This record gives sequence, C-alpha cells and structure tokens, in this order.
Amino acid sequence: MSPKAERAALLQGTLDLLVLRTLAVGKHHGHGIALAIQHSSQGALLIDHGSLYPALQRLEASGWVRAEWGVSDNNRRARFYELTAAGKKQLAREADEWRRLSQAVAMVLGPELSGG
Amino acid sequence: MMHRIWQWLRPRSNEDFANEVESHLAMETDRLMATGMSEHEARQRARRAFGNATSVREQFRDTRWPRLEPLAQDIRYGLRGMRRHRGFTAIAVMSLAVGIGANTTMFGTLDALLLRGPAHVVDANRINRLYFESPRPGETSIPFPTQGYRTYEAIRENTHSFETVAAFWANKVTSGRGSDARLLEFVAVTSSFFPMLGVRPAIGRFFAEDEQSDETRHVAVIGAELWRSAYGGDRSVLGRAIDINGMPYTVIGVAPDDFTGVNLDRVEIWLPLGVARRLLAANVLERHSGAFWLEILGKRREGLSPNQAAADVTAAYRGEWRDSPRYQERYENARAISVPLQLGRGPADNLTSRVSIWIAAVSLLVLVLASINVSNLLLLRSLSRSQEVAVRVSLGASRSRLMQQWLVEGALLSVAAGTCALITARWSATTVHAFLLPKVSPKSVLDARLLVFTALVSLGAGLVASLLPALVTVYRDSARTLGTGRRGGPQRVVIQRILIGTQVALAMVLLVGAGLFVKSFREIRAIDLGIDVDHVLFVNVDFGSMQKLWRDRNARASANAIYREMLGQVKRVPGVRRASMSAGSTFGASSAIALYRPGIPPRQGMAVPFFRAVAPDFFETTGTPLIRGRFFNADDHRANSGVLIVDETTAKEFLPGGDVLQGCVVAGSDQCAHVVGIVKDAVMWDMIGQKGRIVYGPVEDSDEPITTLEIRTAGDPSELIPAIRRAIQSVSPDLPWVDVHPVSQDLDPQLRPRRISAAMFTTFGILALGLAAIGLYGLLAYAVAQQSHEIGVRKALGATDGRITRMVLRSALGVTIGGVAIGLLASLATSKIVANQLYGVSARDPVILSISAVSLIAVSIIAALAPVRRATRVDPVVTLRAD
Repeated sequence: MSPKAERAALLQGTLDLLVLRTLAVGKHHGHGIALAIQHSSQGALLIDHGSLYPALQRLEASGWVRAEWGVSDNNRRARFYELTAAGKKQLAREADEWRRLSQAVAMVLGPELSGG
Repeated sequence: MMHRIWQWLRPRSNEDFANEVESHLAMETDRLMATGMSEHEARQRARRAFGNATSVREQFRDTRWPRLEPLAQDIRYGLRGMRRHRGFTAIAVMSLAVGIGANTTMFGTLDALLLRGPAHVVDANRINRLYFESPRPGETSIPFPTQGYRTYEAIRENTHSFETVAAFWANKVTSGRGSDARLLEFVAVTSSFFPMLGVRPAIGRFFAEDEQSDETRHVAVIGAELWRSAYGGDRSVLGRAIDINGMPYTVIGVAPDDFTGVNLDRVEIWLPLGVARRLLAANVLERHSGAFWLEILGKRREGLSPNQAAADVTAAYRGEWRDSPRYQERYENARAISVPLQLGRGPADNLTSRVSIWIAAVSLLVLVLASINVSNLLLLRSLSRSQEVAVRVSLGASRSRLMQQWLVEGALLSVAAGTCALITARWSATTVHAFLLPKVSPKSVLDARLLVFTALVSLGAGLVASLLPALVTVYRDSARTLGTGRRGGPQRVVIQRILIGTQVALAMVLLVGAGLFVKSFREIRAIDLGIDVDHVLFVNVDFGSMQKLWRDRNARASANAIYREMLGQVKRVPGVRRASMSAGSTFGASSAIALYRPGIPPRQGMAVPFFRAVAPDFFETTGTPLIRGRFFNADDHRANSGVLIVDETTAKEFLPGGDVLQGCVVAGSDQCAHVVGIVKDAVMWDMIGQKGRIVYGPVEDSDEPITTLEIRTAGDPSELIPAIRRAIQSVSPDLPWVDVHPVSQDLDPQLRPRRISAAMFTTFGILALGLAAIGLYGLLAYAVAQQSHEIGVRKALGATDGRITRMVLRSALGVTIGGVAIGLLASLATSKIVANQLYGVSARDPVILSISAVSLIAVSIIAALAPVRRATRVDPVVTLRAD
C-alpha cells in the first residue's frame, strides 16, 4: 500500500465543512486555508489545492463567506475570505450533521471492524 | 439577500479568478523555496499540488451559472415528451389556451374600464370625478355626477383640497347645412380642463380663461380625427372657421391623437363652456329649475386622500344651498363622493362595466377549470411515468430536481397555450371590445400591458396545473421502489375523481349561468315595447336650440312647417307604409301635463304623465295597439278638438274611479277634455323600467315644436334610410343635420351588453362541458386500461358485457353526479348575486337547473362510451395467458 492511499480523498460536502471550520478561526486567503486544513488533519486529508477555489466560489455564491483582495504577510496580493453570519449558522448545521453521520457510520461498522 | 442578488447580477470575472490562482501558486512557491528548494522545482511542485487547473477553471464557471445546465436539459426533455405524446399535448395546450384566451380577451376591455387612466392624462390618480347624493329617509339614494354651473363655481371658490377644479358637458351639435351637414360629438370644458389633465395640444393651443367665461367668444379645438378627415391634417386649419349650429367658430388648436377627455367616447370637437351654456340656454334652465348638466372634476393637492377632498366638497355643496330655503331641506344631508377617473369605477349603475366584470370573473373560472383539466391530464400521464421517476430517484436525482422537471413541462405547455391565446385574442378581444365599448376604438388590441398580462396568466396557469402532479409524483413515486411502480394506487384515482368532480361542478355553475343569461336576454327581447321595433324609423332634425323653438313662436311655426313638408315627401318614398310625426319622442325630449278628474286634483309631489302631440296615423305607424275606444279620427285632428288618448298606466294611475272614456278630465289648462281611447303602454327611455305614462293629443290642437317623424316600413327599415334622407333634403337644400335611424338603434345600448353576456356565458358553458368530458374520458380510459386484468378475470368467471358496462358507467356517473350536486349547491348559493343581473327569470329557475344537470350527465355518458366499449372487448383468454 502506498502511503498516499491511506490519506482519504475528500467528499465534496466535507471540503465545504472544513473550509468553513478553518475560517471560523479568522480571516484567511486560499493558500492559508489549504495549509491549515492539511496541518490540522495532521496531513491525513488530501486535497488538491486547486479544488479549494471552486469550493470557495461556491461558498461565496451561497452567501456563507465574503471575500476581498488584500496583501498577505509576505507581501503578496491575495484574496481574503471570512465567514458571514449565515456562514456561521451553516457551519454549525453542517458540523452537527457530520457528527451525526459519522456516529451512525461507526455504529453500522461496529467495534470488530473499526478495531480490525 | 441583497448581496446575493448583487452577485447574481454582477458575477465575478474569469480574470479575477485567474489572479487568485496565480497568487496561490506564487505563495506556495515562496513557501517551498523557504524550505530550501530551487525556484524552478518549487514552482513545479506548487503546480502539481494545485491539480488540474483547466478543470478548476471549468468548475469555477459552473458555480457562476449553477442551474442553467439542468434547466436546459429539462426543457429539451420536456419538448421531446411533448412531441412524443402529440395527442396529449394538443389537448392540454388547447385546454389551457381556452382558459388563457378567455382572460386575454377580457383584459383589454377591463383594463380600459377599470385600470388604465384615460389616454394622455398625467397624474390620473390624483384626479377625481365628483359624484353627489342626497339621501332621504326611506329612499335608496342614487349617486349622480351632474350639477349646475353654480355648483362648479361654489366648489372652485369654497374648497381648499384641490389644485384645480374643472367641469365639462358632453353632447352633440350640428355642423354645416344641407348635404354637408353632420352631427359632431362635442365636449364643452372649462379652461382649467386641459391643464388639469396635463394634456398638450397637437398643434395650436387650448382655451384661455376669458374664452371660457365669455359667451360671445366663438373658438373651438378640434379632435385629431376630425382634423385628419375634414382638413387632411393640414396645419393651416388654425384660424379657419368651422360652422357650429349655423355660427362660425375659429379653430385655435387640435387635441392630440386618441384624446377623449376623461370618458372613453370619441370627441370630435371641444368648445369653451361659455358658448356651450348659451347653446343649451343653460342659464335660463338653471334659473328655473336648477338644471343638472355639468360633470365636475377635481385634482387633489398632494397628500390629500379622496375622502378628505370629498368632505371638503360636501361642506361647500351644502353651503351653496343653505341660502335657498326651497332646496335646503333636500340638500341638508347631501354628500359628495370622490370617484376615480376610470369609467368602470364610478358608483353609478353602469351596465357595461357590470357586464364586463361579470364576464371577466367567469373567464377566470374557465381558466381554473382549464388548469384543473390539465392538472388531471398530467396526473394521468404521470402514471405511465412512475417507473421513470423511480429510476431517476434511485440514480440520485433530488426531489427538487424532479419537481423542477415537472414545473418546466408545465411552463412549456403554458408558453404554447399563451401563444395560441394571443393569436386568437387578436380577433376575439377586438370583437368583445367592439361589443362592449362600441364607441371606443382601441389603439391596438395587442399592447404591452396585454402581453405582460398574458405571459403572467399563462405561466401562473401552467405552474398551478403542474404543481399537483409534480407533488404527487415526486412524493409518492420517489418513495416507491423500483419494480413495484406498475399499478397506480387507489389513492391517486381518488385525487383524480376529486379533480373531475370539481370540473363537473364548475361546468354545472357555468351551464346554469349560460341558461339564465340566455333566458334573461330572450325575456328582454320579448318585452312588448308597445312599438313595432323591427319596422319603425325615427327622423329628427336638429334645429339648434330647442329653447329658442319653445320661446319663439315664429321659429316654432317655421320648423313645424318644415316637418309637415318632410312628412309629405317621406310618404311618397316607395317602401314607406305609413308616416306620422309627433312633438316629443320615445328617446328624446318630452313635455309633461297635469291630468286628473275634475275635483280630484293629484297629490302634491306625484309624478306627472308625459304629453305627446301626434299627427294623424301615429298609432298605426308606431304599431301601438288600441285597448279600448278608438284612435283619433279626421274630425279630432283640428284645433281645439279637446280630445285625448291615454295609455293603460295613465288611465289606472291618474284617472282612477269610473270609466275613463266617460265624462270630462282636466288636462293642463283644458278643464273638460275627452278621452276617446286607451292604448297599450309604450316604451319610454328604458326598456326594462317603467313603461307608458303618456297622454296623446292631436298635434293640430297643440302649439309645441315637432321633434320627430315616425316612419313605418314594409321591410328592413335600415334599407330605406338613404331614400328617406334624399326625400327630406328635397324639402330644403340647407337643412341642418337630419338624423334618420331605426328604433332598434336606440334600444341597442340597452341590449348589447346583455347580448354579449349571454353569448359569452354560452361559449364558456359549452367549453366547460367539453373540458369536463375530456377529463372524464381520460380518467375512465385509464381506469379501464388499469383494470383490464380484473375485467378479464371477471369475464372469465362469467360476467356479462352488461355487467362490465354497468361497472364502468357507475364509476363515471358517481363522479358526475357528485359534481353536479356540488355545482347545484354552488349555483343556489350564488343565486342572490346573479339575481339582479337577470330579467324575467329566477336565478333558481328549476327548468334551467335540470337542463344543465341532465346535459352534464348525458355528456358524461357519451364520454364513457369509448372506455366502455374497450372494457367489453377485453379478451379473458388473453388476460389469463398473460398471468
């Protein structure tokens, strides 16, 4: 088994959740969000950096994040994203759903499989 | 929300997105270089970590137009479905087109009557018509719009609610002489009239203040139509003279195209109120009796409500009458009402707008019916699609996506139907408009308002029709798993039976309505008017001011002489059977006479009969039958004969007690006149209202101005009009305008709206019947197809064709009878509302109710015939083999 295969490919909905979660901490540009997700999952989650941007666009179109151009720490022009009020609600909703789903999946799989 | 709309309107550019991607790559390269990588290697790693840039760009584009692709797919899919099921599509589109078309047809007329302000008028909603009523205990008060000049002045001087007050008077006046003579429809206005409405002249100017007040200023503004027809649209018309009533008037301006003031009738010429007052001799009339002739308009100051303005007018109006003790009591409780400019919104009892609103309401009912029908058809079709839905659900289509598919198909149907409706509206709306508003020429039937209206109604109907099938299919079928979707559940047929029951009920209501209005129209047509309507012509010569004829003996004598001469000429025209003449006529001016038995003077305030002086042969000409006694003979037709003929109502109401033909009666100044005959009541003004109350005397015995020639023709009276006109012109080459018209033309305004409501109700009733039949047929055909297995088994077990037939019929009649019963209840419940639209027929007429019910049941049996035949042809052998 290659080490890559152990990293989980992201389902679409999950990426949105992770982005929202990352932004809950504060304003970030796309590059920062990508690094933050990789970092906080201790490298377990694999994302193509590119897939992040359509996701951000989707979130913006839904009114959950808003964006504006600014300057990054190392003096690069970057587009900064932050959560809107609706985005905060959406995060709570999605996080809740996700927890319930993972619980349910764990219950279905049962102790023997998750242990083995 | 605003934010999202903004985003939708101004989507992010591709370039901006590309910049962001560049910025990401630059930052990632920076980061990697910081770990000690070479710039080249760092850049390559950053690219690799980014993934497929092209696909990312495409995804970005997709997020900008998220729904477009599936929508296009649904439309393509829907169109394919419509093509495949042509019969279904045709019936659905036609049903909807009928419903939409009915509404589109009525919209233009209703728009003109109720919604749209008059053409060219600015700020129409700040301008009100002023109506007045003076309620008296125990009487129903009828608001009326006309007042004397004095009231106009009082309102102008003593109110503070208005920026401007204006008054106008509409009538007809003769222009020119001899064969050039014509009758012009004029409106006389105060100088404030045009500025108040915000209208600008096409050329020239409108009236100045001093032109209005000065009765000697002979100036006129002509309408655009007259300008083109009589002056070829030439600008040099300004300053030229036009003959009005034998006097030259200087044309000072031309009104803009289609400007009709605040009413909808065509206006050929506009005159200042001052000269018009003289035309009417209004000052004389007003001094004597307080003539009511002017309509008053007020433009409210900004921020004032119509009710506030009306209260202000009420105070001024009561104040005006406070100093005249004779009228004070009557006007103490008088009240002013502010009415919107739109003609149909006045408080007056306007037959045309009442009928229009009725028809519009009924066409809405037809639309509901059509939507239900299409809903029903879609439900039927959905049965064959439950398998498809189940497949799509199992493939992951969301419910909202499935709903969208249904609604898109509904919208496609409605677009097709709306287009058909618009095409027919070109013809139908013009016809209906011409019927209801004959004097108003619509600029164009298909204007932008109509298009928007039709589009909204079509989409609304399409969505409503597809919503129920969409909900049912999506929520039921998506819950159903693959492979079990073959047989429609019993519940669904229940929904359809309810829908068809509703259709039948609505059809029942419409059929009853059709029956009532047709019968009512026939009853009105059948009213004995006491005149032979189909064979009589009236001729009036406009000698200008009637007032002058009444005052001036010589003028009267010469006018009467002309009438006598005309009568002689007319009698010689081939095709004329008889001719006579009279002072006073059915639809024109008449004088009144006090009539009572000697010693029994009438109570104070009691109505007085009309008086009509008639020439020999009068009753034979008009066809008014004799009840008792005799007509006037040659001996009666001389001065001072002192004989009278009265009609039945006059005899009963004014000469009670004893034989009318015996003894003296007091008639005006004659203390002993003899009644020689009693004739049937003849129509006076209104076909439906009070008839008769006319006293006839020989014309030789009276000194009144002759007003009318009556002519009886052998055939269609209209055909003789040119010949009669020629004969009359031979009397004198410079006669003013001579009006020759059949009596039926006077009755037309009273019949026309009723005729069209009968026609529309009948059309709608038949359409409703057809729609109900289609719905029922569809349901039965489907039920038989579904039950063919059951039917086969029953047959195999020995059921006869008769039994199978009864089974299908029972299912059909169950729905129909249920619907008929509900429709019957609805008809009875609404009978009160309809009652005052009807004449001579009860809104609960049992014959009409039963005919409607029977025809619905009959039609439903016919609709069941084909399914019945199919059911009886089910071959049990085939059925059993299939198992």
